[in-house]
Parts: sequence; structure tokens; C-alpha cells
Amino acid sequence: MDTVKKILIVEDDQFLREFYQELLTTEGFLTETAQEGEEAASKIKKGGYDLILLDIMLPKKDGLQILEELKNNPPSTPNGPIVVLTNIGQDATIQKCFDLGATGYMVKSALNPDQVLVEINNYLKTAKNPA
Amino acid sequence: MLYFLINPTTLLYITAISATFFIGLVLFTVRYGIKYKRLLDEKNSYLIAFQKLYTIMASTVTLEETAQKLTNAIAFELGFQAGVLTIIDKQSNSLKRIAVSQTPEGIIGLKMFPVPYKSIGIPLTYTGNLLIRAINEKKPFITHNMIDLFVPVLPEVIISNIQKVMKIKTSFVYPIFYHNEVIGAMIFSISGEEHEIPDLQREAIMRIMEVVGTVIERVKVYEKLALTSQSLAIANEKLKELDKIKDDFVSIASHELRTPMTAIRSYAWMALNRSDIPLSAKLKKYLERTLISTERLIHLVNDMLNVSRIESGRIQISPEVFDLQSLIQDVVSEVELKAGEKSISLKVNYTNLPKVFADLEKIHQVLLNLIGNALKFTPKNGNIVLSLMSDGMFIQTTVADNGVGISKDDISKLFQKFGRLDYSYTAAAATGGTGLGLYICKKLIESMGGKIWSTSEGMGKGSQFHFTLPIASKQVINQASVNQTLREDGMMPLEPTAI
Ligand SMILES: Nc1ncnc2c1ncn2[C@@H]1O[C@H](COP(=O)(O)OP(=O)(O)OP(=O)(O)O)[C@@H](O)[C@H]1O
Ligand SMILES: [Mg+2]
Repeated sequence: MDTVKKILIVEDDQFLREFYQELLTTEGFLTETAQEGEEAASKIKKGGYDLILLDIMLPKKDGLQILEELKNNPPSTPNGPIVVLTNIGQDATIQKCFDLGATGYMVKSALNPDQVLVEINNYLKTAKNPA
Repeated sequence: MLYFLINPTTLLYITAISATFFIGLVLFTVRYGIKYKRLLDEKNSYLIAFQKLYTIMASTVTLEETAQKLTNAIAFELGFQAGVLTIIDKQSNSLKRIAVSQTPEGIIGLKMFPVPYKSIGIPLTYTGNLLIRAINEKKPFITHNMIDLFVPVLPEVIISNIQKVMKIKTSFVYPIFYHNEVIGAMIFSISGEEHEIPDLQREAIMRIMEVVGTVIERVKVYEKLALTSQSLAIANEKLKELDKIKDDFVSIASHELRTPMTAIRSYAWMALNRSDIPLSAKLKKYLERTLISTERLIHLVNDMLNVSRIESGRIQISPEVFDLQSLIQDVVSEVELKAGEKSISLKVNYTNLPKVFADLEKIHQVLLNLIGNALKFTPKNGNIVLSLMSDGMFIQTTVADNGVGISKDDISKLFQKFGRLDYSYTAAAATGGTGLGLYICKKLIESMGGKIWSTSEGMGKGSQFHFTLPIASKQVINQASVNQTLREDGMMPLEPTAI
């Protein structure tokens, strides 16, 4: 097996954040969390995450702003794919995220935990062998 | 067809402009044509006069303005010292002065009136007034006494003084016609005797009165229309605002609802699947029902959001050319697992068909709902068959099942909001339906130029759901690109619905 994957979970709702964390650690991932935009931005800038789950609606600095900063100013240690977490499948916002460098998105309410894991594993796989 | 393309303003302008040409022609003939034939050669002045009247008419939209300009034009062009336009006011049952020419004498007279001239209303029943007689008898009159035109409203001393200062000797009174009705009267005054105006000219004035009548009636209609459309526009704006508020509210509410709903869903799932103690059968059942209900709630919120967006016309339809059969293939493999759980066989009858022009995502949703319904309302070991056919213009897709069927009376209720049928309640309760699916399908299919309907032999005899989509012909695609440019901003996507 490869080295343990490190995942950053950016989510402002405590219950959801802790749920993702528990789900992913039980699955054997290393996790870190951020509960608002500024904290998230400074963690992402350090780099080194294999995957970042990024909520869009965040206090202090929203997901779009974070993506924009990253695009203009990529961290010296690169990160893996950024997967945007949304509540509503709003095309326009999601398209903006893609334009700003996000790899994918998950509509939180549409997925059961097992489906979340499938998605995350897929993103990690595609990151390893970019097609 | 062309008739509908002309709005009231345009109609008014057309009337006004043709009326102007007519008046211009008559005025010209009267003033220059008969008296001074040679002036006819002066094309320039003719054109200038025309141009003047043309701009006056085309640019006036209120009754007041039109009346003023008509009165001025006639008085100046025919060389009267003063002109007055009066019209019948049905509300007060009187004749109202609405314009006095801005000729020098007209202005002098105006200044001398003890009351604003627009407030002068002569009772229609008062036949001692020459204006009223002209109206009643539908013919012109002449007077040398201005008081004949003001009785019984103003006293004789004042009027004869005004007449003196204005140096008016003769006044002509003409009824104004609209079709065969008299709608008012005009007064033209000169400082000389009546024979100064030749008979031919007086006859011409009669004809001008018909044009004046037409123009005034049209302006009145236009004023009414303008008022109505103005209030309609205001009401429409308000409705739009309300609609947006409603839509925003539903959006925000559904967004806020989703976070806790996602948490409930996720933790219920964790309790069922990641518990560190074995679950009792009872606890398992409770948790399963929590999970199902939450999924249903999320589904409901999505559908409500979709309905709200559809109803405010904010669902973006982005049609493209695609192969319907391969989309059906995708949807079928998506639901195969679910079908397998109920041992329902899912078959597609393929044929060679042209591509359709529709919004792929939306058709995906429609197919998911139709197949999902068929799965919900068909008992174990049933059959679902999808088939397609073409009539050259449209492709018709049919989803047929051999499930619970629909009674004749119920078929019409299906595509309504919350149109869940009674008998299906148990089936729906167990599977999580809200009765919005078919309503949304109908709106979506119709927005793409198709139709959707259902057939059934009756209860217990299975049902068929059919929908049509336009074949991607050049004409269909061109038409869509024309409509595309008319679309507004603020469009929203469709929220995904699960089956
Ligand atoms: N294949 C079918 N056979 C029998 N009845 C059907 C079938 N499809 C739909 N119906 C009836 O039409 C109703 C409305 O269907 P619709 O798809 O709008 O709602 P739903 O499936 O109950 O809920 P939703 O789609 O919103 O989750 C159903 O509740 C059911 O009573
Ligand atoms: Mg349905």
C-alpha cells in the first residue's frame, strides 16, 4: 500500500465536519480540518494535502475566494485535487469553481457516506494517474 | 398575423400620420390651392408644411397636446384670428373647451377670461348655446355675437368686452365628427365678415372636422390603453418581484434545511453501518426509517426548489443534439441495481432513429422519474419496457410497465402538483414519493417543445407513459437559437432528483 493519504476537510458546520473526519479516519486516512475560510486558506497554502474537501459557503472567506487566491498564488508545496462541497447544485457557482482550478464537486445532501467514500477514492485515484 | 404585430402606439401613429397627410392636403388645397394656385409650384413650402404637421402628430400622445396642436395648425394655416376646440365630456354631461389657438388674438382672449378656459363647461342640454346647437343639429353655424358661444356660463358684459379687445367680428362653429357621431365642436373666428371665407373653404373645413374627430378619438383610445398598460406593467413588475422573493426564500430555506438534513442522513447511516455495538432488530428498523425519511425530505426540498424555479421561469433549458437511445441506455444501467432488488426486468427496444434536440440533463431527470415510477408502482417480478418511435418530426418514448395501473378518472390528475394517487399512497410512503415528479416532467418536456401523457387499461393493468421530443432538424435548431437570445439572466439549474 502507498503512504497514508492526507485529507483536509474544510466545512463550517461542526456536525458535518466531524462526520467527514470520523468517516475518513475510520477508513484509514489522515485528516485535518478547518472551520472557516481564513484558517482553510492558510492551511492550504502550506500545501502537501493529497485531497482537499472545500465547502463553498464559509465564514470570513468563501471557497471561491480561496480558489482564486490559490490560482493567482499557487503554494510551493503542491496539493492534490480540490473537491468542492456544495449544498445546492448551482451550475454557475460550480462552473466558477472549475474555472478556478477545482477538480470536482460533491452535493453533500445527495450522498450517503458510502457514496462519499467512493467519490473520494475516485478522486484520489485520478490524481495519481492524471489521464 | 400582421395585425398582432402592430401595437396600439404604432396604430395610433399610423392613424395620426395618415390623418396628418389628409389635413395637410386639405389645408394646402384650401389655403394655397384654390386662392393662390401658383403657390402650388413652391414645392419647398409644401414639403415644409407637411413636415411640420407630420412631426406634430407623430410626437403627440396626450389628448391635451394633440388638441392644442390641431387647433394651432388649423387656425394658423387657414388664417383665422382664433380657434377653439371643445369636446363632449360624458361624465359631466357638458361641452368642455380643451384648446385655444396660440394665435395673437387667441392669447389676448385667454388672458382676459375671468376663469381658466378649461373650466368652462356648457351643459349639453342648453340649446341656447350655438355650440350645443351645432352638435345637436350636426351642422355649422355663424354668429357675430361671441356670447352665443358662452351662454349660460359667462355674463354678457365680460364676453362682449373680450370680443371687442380681440377685434372679432365673425365666429364659425363646426361640429366635430367621428364616424356619424358628433364628439365636440370647433370655433374659428375672424375680424372680418363671413363672406371673406369662401364657400369652398367652408366645405373643406367640414371635412377637416372629420379628421379632427378621428384623431381625437384615437388619442382618447390610446390614452386609455396607455393607462391600462401602465397599470398592467406596474402589476407585472410587482408580481415579478414577489416571485423573486418567493424563489429566493425557497432557495435560502432549502439551502439552510439541507445542512441539518445532510447531518441527520449521514449520522443515521453511520449508526446503521458503523455502530460499535450490534443493533437490535428494533433499533435497526427505527434507524432505517429515519434514513429513508430523511432521504425523502431531501428529495422533497429539491423538488420544491425545482417547482419554484420552473414556475418563475428560471430553469435554464440548454438544448443540444444527442442520441436519445444512448441516454436511455445510461439511465437503464443507472437503475438496473434497483430493478434487480425487485426482480423487475428492464428492456429497451432499440431501433434506428435520428437524434433529438433537447436538454440532455433534463431528459435524464425525466427518464429517471418515469422509470423510477414504473419501478415503484410495479410489484416484484414485473416488466418494464422502453420503446421509441418516430413520426419524422418527433421521437416518442414510451415507458410501459405491468404494475398497478391507473384508473380512467385518475389519469388527468397525474401531472398536477402533488398529484399522487390515493391507492399509491402506501407504495409511495414506502419508497419516498412526493407527487411532484410528473409535474416537473411535464413542465420540462413542454419547455423543450414536446408533450407528455399517460395511458392505462385501468387498475391492475399496468401503465404507459409517453413523451415526445423534437428531432434535431435544421429548422428546430435555428428556431431555438432565435429564442435563445431572448432569454433573461438569473437562470437556475435543476436540482438533482433521486429515484
Ligand atoms: N408507472 C406508474 N404506475 C402507476 N401509477 C403511477 C405510475 N407513475 C406515476 N403514477 C402515479 O402518479 C403519481 C405521481 O407521480 P410523480 O412521479 O409525480 O410522483 P411520485 O413518484 O409519487 O413522487 P416524486 O416523483 O415526486 O418523488 C404517483 O404518486 C402515482 O400515484
Ligand atoms: Mg416520481
